[in-house]
Amino acid sequence: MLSLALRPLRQFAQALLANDSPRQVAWGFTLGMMIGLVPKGNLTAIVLGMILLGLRTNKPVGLVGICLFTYLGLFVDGFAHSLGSAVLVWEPIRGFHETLFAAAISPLLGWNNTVVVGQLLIGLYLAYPTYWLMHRFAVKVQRPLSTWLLRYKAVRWLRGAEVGTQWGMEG
Amino acid sequence: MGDGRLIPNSWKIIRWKYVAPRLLIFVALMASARFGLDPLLHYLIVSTGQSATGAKVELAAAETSLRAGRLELRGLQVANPDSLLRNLVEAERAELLIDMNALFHNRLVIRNGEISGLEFDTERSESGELEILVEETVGPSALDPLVAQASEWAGDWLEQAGDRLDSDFADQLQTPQVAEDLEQRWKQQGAMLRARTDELKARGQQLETEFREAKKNPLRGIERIPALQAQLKTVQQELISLQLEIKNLPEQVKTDRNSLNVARKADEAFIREQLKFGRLDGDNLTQVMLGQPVAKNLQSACDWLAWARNRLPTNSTKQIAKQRSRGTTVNFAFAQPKLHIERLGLTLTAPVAGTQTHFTGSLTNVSDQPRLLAEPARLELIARGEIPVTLEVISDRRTDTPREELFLACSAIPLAGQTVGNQDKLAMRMSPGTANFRVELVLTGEKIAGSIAFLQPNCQIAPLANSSSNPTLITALTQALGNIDQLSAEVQLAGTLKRPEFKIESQLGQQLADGISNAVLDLASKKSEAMLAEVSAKMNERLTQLETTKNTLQQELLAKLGENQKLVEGLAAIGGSDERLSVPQLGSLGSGLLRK
Repeated sequence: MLSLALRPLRQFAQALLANDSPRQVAWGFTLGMMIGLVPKGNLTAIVLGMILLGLRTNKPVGLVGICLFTYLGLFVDGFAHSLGSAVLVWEPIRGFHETLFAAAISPLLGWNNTVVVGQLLIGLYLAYPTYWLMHRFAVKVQRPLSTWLLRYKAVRWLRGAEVGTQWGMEG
Repeated sequence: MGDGRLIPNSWKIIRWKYVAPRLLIFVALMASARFGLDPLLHYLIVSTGQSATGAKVELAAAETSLRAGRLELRGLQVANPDSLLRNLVEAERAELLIDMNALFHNRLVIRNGEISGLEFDTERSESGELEILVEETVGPSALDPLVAQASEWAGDWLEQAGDRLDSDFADQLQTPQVAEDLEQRWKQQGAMLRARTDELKARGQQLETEFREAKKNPLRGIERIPALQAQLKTVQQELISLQLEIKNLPEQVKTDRNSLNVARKADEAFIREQLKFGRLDGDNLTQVMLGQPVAKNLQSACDWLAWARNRLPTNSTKQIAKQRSRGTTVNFAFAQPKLHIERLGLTLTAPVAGTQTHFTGSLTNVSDQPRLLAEPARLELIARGEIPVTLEVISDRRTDTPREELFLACSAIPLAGQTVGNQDKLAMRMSPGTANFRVELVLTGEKIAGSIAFLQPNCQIAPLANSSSNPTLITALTQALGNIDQLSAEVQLAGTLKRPEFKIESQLGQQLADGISNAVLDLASKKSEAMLAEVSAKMNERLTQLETTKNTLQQELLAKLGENQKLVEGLAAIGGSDERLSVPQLGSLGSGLLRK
């Protein structure tokens, strides 16, 4: 029970203590960014969430990304709406949209909503820069930060608990 | 893990510890949906059906095939909450083909379907009671006053006619009374004249005796002579007076005859007034004869329509314009309703005039948002068999004013004999037969317009007699109604759903009114003539009797007066009187005048 309650803290400590690779951290943050931007309540957000949780990415950083970009995403809703509208009414791909709609794919994924499409496109556009920046950040910061944090007893204890959990020694 | 990079191997990048349990849960959910959907659907259909009807709903089996989008229900029985040992509706099998793609659009679209073995009001082996139901008090129909008023009017007319035809006006006639009075008076007058004649004779005889005595001894009797002469004079005057009265008897008879004639004329006027009837109003009689069943059925149909309308979708625009909170949701197809039954084949059995009739047909374009459809909802049912029936109902709720059209045509409906009208006053028994029936009804908003046409050839109608019925009138009515060989009526409908109005146009009412009126007037005329003949006969009899009495009295009195005249003349000779009156002259007076 205690292990379950401390799990986010343990995972966060593990993320900072370089147990996950910088690529995992970068992927986690990038997926979190996309989930945060996309309005919830559609299958797109659920699928992105499942990808984040189902792949070996850094979940705590992903959660940070979700929280951060959910907040930031509200400020770009207007732009996302304009962008999504432009894409949805773009005549060359109208047939494609109609096919998706008739097959009930776009209503479930929310791809017939202007903001969902706009935010998804923004997320995709920002994906590589975000990944690259986060990867660079993780490479540079993760090891010194780990060394510094391990000087603290609580952090060492949390890290030990995570290792114990992974070895099947849950309390 | 260490400091390793994401391994390109797709299996290694998956966090199986997270994915595997969820995959298992997903598989379990799919299995539950596959194997648990049928019982769940069974439960939902039974529970929602019971909530809606308040009576038991039974379903033998519910089977679904998600891949084919097929739903099959078998052995559906919905108990009637008002009659717990009967089913409201029963269906042997219902198969619905559901558009699975539309389900992902959050819409239920039944592309095609077939409901077979549909029956209404069937028997059930056990009670369908779920709870104690409080029976609603059924208020009077809006049409009742109209029918009651017409029935009252026609019933009163016939009752009045029967009473008057039954009545004996003898005690109210003047002629017998006047004749009676005259007879009494003649008797009294005859007795009085006889008495006076007899008294005159007695006085004459006494005077004769006294005169003779005075003549025998003139010296002693001379003093009495003046007194005797005076008495003689009085007797003579009395004799003259009597002669005059007898002379006037024919005049009196003439006056009495005039009195009788006046009385007879008054009686004629009275009888004619008493047996004078207006003619029955055909339209009114039609309302009496056919109004009751029409009103009952029409009110029932209107109640049913109002009930059905209340359950039809309101078609609110709010339902259509549903928007997401962020952004705009674009529909790449025409807006379509959440529920849409494109076509549902129907095979059902329903009683028509007591005969189980097999119908086939279809229900198309039923929706919760009819505004979004190009075509109105339509129900078509056709029965080909002993009783051909065609039913077509169109419900167009695509505009602000809902419009329903109903067309029903039945031919050769067997009709049992039935009684129409008020049995206490005016009721008719119609013979069994077959009839053609055609209904055209349009409901626009709350307004009703339409017509119901009814034709029953070879129809025999007979009046129903009760203990208070006038037998003569019943005989006349039977004869009059015997001329009617077919019953046709057209009911024009108007008003609103809550207060429907109707007017029945039928030759039946006019035929009946003519028949009844003619029969009653004929009876009245015959009775009037019979009564007048009776009065005239009585009067003539009285007049003959009167003349006979007069002649007898006159002869009797004249004979007596003749004797008296001789006596008086003798006395006058004795007493020296000059006054004379010839008896034969008196006898010849007035005999011709007294005759009528």
